[in-house]
Amino acid sequence: MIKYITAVLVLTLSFMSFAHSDEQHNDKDKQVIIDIISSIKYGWENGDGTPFRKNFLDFKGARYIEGGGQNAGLDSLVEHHVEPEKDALEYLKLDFSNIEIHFEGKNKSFAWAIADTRVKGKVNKSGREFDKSGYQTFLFRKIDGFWKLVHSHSSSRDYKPKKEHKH
Amino acid sequence: MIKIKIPMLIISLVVVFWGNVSIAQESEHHSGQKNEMFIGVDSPAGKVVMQFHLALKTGDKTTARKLLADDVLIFEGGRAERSADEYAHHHMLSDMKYLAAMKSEPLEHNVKIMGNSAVSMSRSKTVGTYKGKERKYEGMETIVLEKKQGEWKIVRIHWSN
Repeated sequence: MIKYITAVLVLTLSFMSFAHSDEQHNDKDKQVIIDIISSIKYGWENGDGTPFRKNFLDFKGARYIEGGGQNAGLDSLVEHHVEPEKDALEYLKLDFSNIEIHFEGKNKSFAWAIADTRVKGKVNKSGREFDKSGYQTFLFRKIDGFWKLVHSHSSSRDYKPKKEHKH
Repeated sequence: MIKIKIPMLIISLVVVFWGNVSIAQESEHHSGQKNEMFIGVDSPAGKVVMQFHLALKTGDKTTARKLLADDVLIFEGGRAERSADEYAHHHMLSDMKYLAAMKSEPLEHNVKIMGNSAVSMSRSKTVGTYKGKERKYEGMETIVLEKKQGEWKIVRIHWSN
């Protein structure tokens, strides 16, 4: 009987330890992905391609979609979009909120993240200011132990504040 | 980032429609240079995406609903729908009406399978007249699929134009 109880206890503790370790692993990966998303925000706001080059997987067929247009490949995204906006815009403020991250695959080596977005800015040339809200989808793959962004898709429309519910 | 446009349609839908082009015809159609633009469309996950497009175009509600995971999340025109039933009972019907009136041409489609997950990315050109308004735009679609109990289901859709 004692042997039986001991065996059950050992099995239970092993399972708890495994589950805990898996959870910790997930939390760590989630934080890495949140950090990457934060660096992307920084890159857009500062016209700095560095975070993109560091965290995006550059491969043939890479596509980054935003606002009805797409950038084919990392160089196109950075050189034709991220960096020029530094000069084209007086300011750019980008916020990602309600970030949800989900892991998939046998080794949890694929992840997708979704976020609400808000983007505000002012165009130098025309003086036009914009304020848009929408959604962002990010897809990641873990390659050689590092999370890499393989695809992103953003869409937004002019921001309209939610109407307050009146009682 | 500043290229972001304001979707004008009720749907602002960019569903890539393959129309009456069958999957069999696809392989012939995508020969030569076009091969690079159409990758993985004949894969099991790619076929599910194609079936979904066709179901939306032809108004086949049963098939369209069946291909969606119950907890599918759909981003479309600045709004989100958070279940297959929510979509099926609301915007799916207006999307079907809209698509029936439009002509869409696939420009590129890339489906990548990673174990039990798959990603479909596509771009299409859509033209037509809906409710008296002429429409002409290029649309983008990102779909994430998961293999559940041996069947590929659509778990995420992001449409924009």
